[in-house]
Amino acid sequence: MTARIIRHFAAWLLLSAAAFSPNAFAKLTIEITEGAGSGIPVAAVPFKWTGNGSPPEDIGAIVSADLYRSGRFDLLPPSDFLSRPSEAAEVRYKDWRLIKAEALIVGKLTRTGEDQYDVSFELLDVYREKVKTGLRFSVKGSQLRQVAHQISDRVFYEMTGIEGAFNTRIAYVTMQQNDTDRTYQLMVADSDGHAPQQILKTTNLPVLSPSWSPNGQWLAYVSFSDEQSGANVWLQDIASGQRRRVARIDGSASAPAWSPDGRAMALTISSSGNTDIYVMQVASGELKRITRDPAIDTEPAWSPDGRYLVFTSDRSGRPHIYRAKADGTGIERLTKEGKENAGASFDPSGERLVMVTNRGRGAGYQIGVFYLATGRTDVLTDGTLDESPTFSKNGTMILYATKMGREGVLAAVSADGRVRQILKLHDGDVREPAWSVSR
Amino acid sequence: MPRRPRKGARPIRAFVYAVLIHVAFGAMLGVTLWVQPRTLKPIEGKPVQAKAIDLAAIEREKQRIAAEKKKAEDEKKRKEAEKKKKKKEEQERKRKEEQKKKKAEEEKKRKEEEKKKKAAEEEKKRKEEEKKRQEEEQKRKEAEEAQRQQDEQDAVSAFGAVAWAIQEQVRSNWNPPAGDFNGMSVSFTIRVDRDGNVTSVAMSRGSGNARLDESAENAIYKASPLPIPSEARFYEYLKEFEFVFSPQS
Amino acid sequence: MMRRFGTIVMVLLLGVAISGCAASKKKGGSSVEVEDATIGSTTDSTASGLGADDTTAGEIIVVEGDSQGDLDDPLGQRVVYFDFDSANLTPEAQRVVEAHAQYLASNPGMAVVLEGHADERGTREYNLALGERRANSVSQIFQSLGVPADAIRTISYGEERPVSMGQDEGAWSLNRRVEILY
Repeated sequence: MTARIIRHFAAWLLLSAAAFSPNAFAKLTIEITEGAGSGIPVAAVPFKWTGNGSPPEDIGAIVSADLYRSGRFDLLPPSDFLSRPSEAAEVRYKDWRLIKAEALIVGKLTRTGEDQYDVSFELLDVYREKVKTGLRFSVKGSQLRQVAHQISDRVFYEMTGIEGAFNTRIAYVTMQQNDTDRTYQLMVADSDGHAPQQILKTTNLPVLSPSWSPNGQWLAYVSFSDEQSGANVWLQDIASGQRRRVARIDGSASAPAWSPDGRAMALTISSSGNTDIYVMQVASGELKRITRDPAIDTEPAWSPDGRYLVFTSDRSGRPHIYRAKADGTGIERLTKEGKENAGASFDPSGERLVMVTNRGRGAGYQIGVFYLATGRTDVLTDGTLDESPTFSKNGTMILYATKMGREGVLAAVSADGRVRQILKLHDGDVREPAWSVSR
Repeated sequence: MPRRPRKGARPIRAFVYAVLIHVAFGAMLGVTLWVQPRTLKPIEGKPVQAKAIDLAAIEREKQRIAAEKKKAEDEKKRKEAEKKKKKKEEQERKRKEEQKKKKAEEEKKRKEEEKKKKAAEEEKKRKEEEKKRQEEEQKRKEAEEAQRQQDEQDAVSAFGAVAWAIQEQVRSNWNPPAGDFNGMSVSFTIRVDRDGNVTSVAMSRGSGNARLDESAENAIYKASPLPIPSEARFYEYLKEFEFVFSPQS
Repeated sequence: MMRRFGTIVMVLLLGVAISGCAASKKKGGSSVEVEDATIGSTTDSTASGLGADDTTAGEIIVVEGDSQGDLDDPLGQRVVYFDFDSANLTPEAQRVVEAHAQYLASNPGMAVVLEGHADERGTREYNLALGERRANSVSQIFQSLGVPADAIRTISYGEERPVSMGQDEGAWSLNRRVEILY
């Protein structure tokens, strides 16, 4: 209310200054310094389906859900739509101005063969009354969801100038416990949680830290062979299911991180009680030691240009984020604030880190964004046990693990902290998300 | 040929008088002639001396002649008098005529003068009125100007009172793209009709970010009609104004 | 009659012409970018691996783990506890560890597994390392008391095997432990 009065007063001052100026008639001006705080209003019309029965996929609904999840758009309810065009020629722009849609998505899904479909879509600018972009696809039924995500990516790019990250996948771990046993599953799904596929299943042998290869074909992860051995790192080909252990190491290996070019992997090796960072050449298995401190050094992550590694170290007494050159030289501490900082990884621009931060004073563990240029940390979440944050490939969204009551769930928060959503994926405990950069 | 009634009348009258006089003389002469042969009858009863009667007759005659003479003299006198009178009359008439003429001339003159005077007066009056009118006109213009300025001030003041409502209506319709636009700004010149419907939007200065500019333009269209003050005399000053969008994230 | 019919036809044609003009205007002369975008080969191969045919991915690995180790420890206390974020032993814990060390030292050929654990606070990888450090600090004491290194195996499970599922200090303190397993 106060802010309103101040704005009123400010506006009035601006005008009175203009009115009482020596010039008889100065220009009346109103200044607007903030928006509605909601997303861009978009109308996504259900795609026209000309076949029998219901369409194999509701493309319009998938696109709407993607855009909504990004937090940047207000999806107008289809019940308000006065008409249902499926192409630009059918659009009466007045209908859409009435509901104040700024952009309009229309499209068609047509069966052209036994398992063959045509999808066409157009994105329209309502107030300028023109087509912004369009796409056409010819695909199999199994690819229709991907097509929808590609449409979302295109819409996202046109509206924001940023490449979309909807046509991507996520990996995560689920844990289900009965009286005697814990069952772990490593899962891969579309980034909207659909079509989950099991990659690995174990009983009583924990699975952690999945990491995508840059080309999306491999997952590296941590698990245990049996009760006698410590943790180790596996590489698994997603398509074939074939897997291998990274290397026979005396001690344990964990925290795998693929380099941006996919040729190397940073990881943590513990031996003789000392936990340090190593870089391994994937093809040869050759190891190079990066840290030598007796403290715990773990959780390495690569900068997008492959020149630096950030990692967690408690060499100062508590865990904090450090950075080293890829050859291990030039180690410096990055995070100075907060009680603890751990689990850091870069955003695609290389300017920010997302990490787990604990500000102390009973605050708990939350997701924070650290700005390398200024050293500032923005806390984005308010849970008590939030962890394993992972950036989308366009740096706009962060996927992380949090608790809903006793249960572990995944959540997505926009990188500016404005919008947050829980992803209800599975029964049981869900944790350890990893976001692919490619499909 | 111009005929002056007096002059024209005079010869006829003179003639008539002359005739009359001749007739009168003639009549009198006639009378006298007629009367003369009348003999007087002796009065009966009395012997009348012839001499006495003759004397009387002569006396009478004398008297008569005297009377006649007198008459004639009277007549003459009369005539003269008449003549004089006439002359006088004529003179008088003339004089009067002249006087009349003069008077007429004077009158004419006077009238002309009066006319002139009147004209002059009227002219003066007209000029005065003109002047007055101009002065009034001037006053009126000044009053109008003052009113206009007052209207303008009132309009600006009324606008100021609803500026926050307009600002809020546009703000609540503005969905800028996400991003850090601190320090950037885009301006538009707006025209509205009397009901506040936005009739034209022209970008006067862009921010450099096309999506930000478009989102602001959309906000203006979506916010239409704007709650501008409805008083008719304000419209002239409010029909065009500026929006400046300066996001402060 | 014909005349009227003709008029109606004209009006209709005019209407069609006008709407035709309007429609073509909406199609817009500007760029309608319509691409043919076929899904690339990577998708196909992935799809065949995990695809819509509903067969589960490649080889499913189901690994059965043994159940918890046997419980007949003659020395009673087989678990030692730690403070938050610490691998230092309390004096009480120290005594327990020393007892086991003596037992082991006097029983060459006995092997022991030291399982290190942490409570759920902090990241899983850090806790894996913390459990490792705790197990290692017990191992160091064993070795300093004459237990041969090759008789000792250390394994860390980090926060993955809590004994107490609570989310308070009571539960956490029970999870910050090293288990001594024979």
